[in-house]
Amino acid sequence: MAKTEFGTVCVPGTRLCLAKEHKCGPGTYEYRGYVYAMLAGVMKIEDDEIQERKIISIDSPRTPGILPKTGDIVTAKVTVVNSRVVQCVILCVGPSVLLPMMEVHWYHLSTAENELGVVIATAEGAPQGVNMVPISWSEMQCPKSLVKEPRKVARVLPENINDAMLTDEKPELKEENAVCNNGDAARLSTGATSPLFPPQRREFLTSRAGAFAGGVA
Amino acid sequence: MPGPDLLSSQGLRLDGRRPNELRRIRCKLGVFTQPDGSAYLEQGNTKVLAAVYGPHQASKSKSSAEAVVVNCQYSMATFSTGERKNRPRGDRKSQEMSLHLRQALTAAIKTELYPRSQIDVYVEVLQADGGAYCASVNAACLALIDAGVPLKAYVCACTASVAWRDSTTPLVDVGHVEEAAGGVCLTVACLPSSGNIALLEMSHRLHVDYFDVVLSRAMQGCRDIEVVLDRAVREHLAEGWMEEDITAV
Repeated sequence: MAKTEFGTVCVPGTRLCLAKEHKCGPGTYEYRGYVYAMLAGVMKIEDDEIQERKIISIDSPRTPGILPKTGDIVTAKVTVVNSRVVQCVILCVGPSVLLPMMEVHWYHLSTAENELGVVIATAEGAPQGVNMVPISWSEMQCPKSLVKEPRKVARVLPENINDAMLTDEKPELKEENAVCNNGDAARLSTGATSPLFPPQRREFLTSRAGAFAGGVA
Repeated sequence: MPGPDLLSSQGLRLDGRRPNELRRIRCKLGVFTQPDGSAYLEQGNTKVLAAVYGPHQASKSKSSAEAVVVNCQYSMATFSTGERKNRPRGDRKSQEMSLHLRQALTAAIKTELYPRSQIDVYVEVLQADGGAYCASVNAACLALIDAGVPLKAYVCACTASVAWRDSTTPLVDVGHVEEAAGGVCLTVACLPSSGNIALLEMSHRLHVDYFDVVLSRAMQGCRDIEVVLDRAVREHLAEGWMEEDITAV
């Protein structure tokens, strides 16, 4: 567990420390050998696991709780499908569920690994709550209508599925937790539909977050 | 000496202030819930509202691959001046003000952090009593901080003029009566902590020998305004933040 210290209240332009003392984290920038604050908030110093130096950052009322970084495995729900892009909304980052954010940050996502891809999908025209069953790495079939649809299926290791999660209690939250706890994709059947999700194609993807980009490619 | 009588024999200006006295500044952050950041600022009788929409995807025509595009709109309400204004926005003066506002804010925002994005800043002048541009820059700075847009430092703007009574006395924070009387008006938008000037503009003519005096008076005015804005930001942080929010992380 990284040790975190909270310091003083800072405003943009506050000089925090020497550049060689601490590393610049989110909310700070380096200029002429010093680290300055960019946001209005509380200064936070935490240990960096990889390097020995501490990271200094600013916690502002506007910073979201968890922000996906490059290389993170995220769980996302697909919203728009085009011939060029597929847009999704990121729901979980690793094992933690993301709180709904007002600000929109754009990320490039990739499913270019065996463990990444579609986790939960419903067939077109099928009733809500009936999830398709994967029959190969690139196809899924609806158990009710027996329709086959092409999907890039994520590879789930059976021992990673948490059986305790496969209950009907609070279906939408459980489903997310199970998927996130694994880090991989997991297939679950939900008893009831969640009123939170719009009745579109309820597809869940686990994918790796790419570098931050200002727009969708 | 040519020029209007901006200083009385008692050393008081046309509105009763001392030469180095700023008008009273009252400001508040977070006045609206819809925009990402907002602020209301009063500088004497000049009242200004600013609203900021934080970085979002830029339209294809405006987007830049290296940095964020700061989109400013300066608008004066029809009831803001003595004579009712016909065009609140889109007229030449408002467009020029929008460009100046953009110049000042782009100098303060860390633009390289959000390529292919745009930030929208809307400023509405509710009452213009001189120094409307300065009040706009100050209000926009507060609104940007409220929106959580990363800034290098505070950006403040101030005007200065000069009076010719006995000696050349620089006057800070020029009001509408002094502007209308025909005195020279130097507008400075700068980052007071580093002393970098973002925008410098002057009306009428001023002899180069007196320029330094007037400029340094305006820069000092910017530093004094920064103190006021800083206090408002800290108060806003203190009231908006509970102790449990910090320890819960």
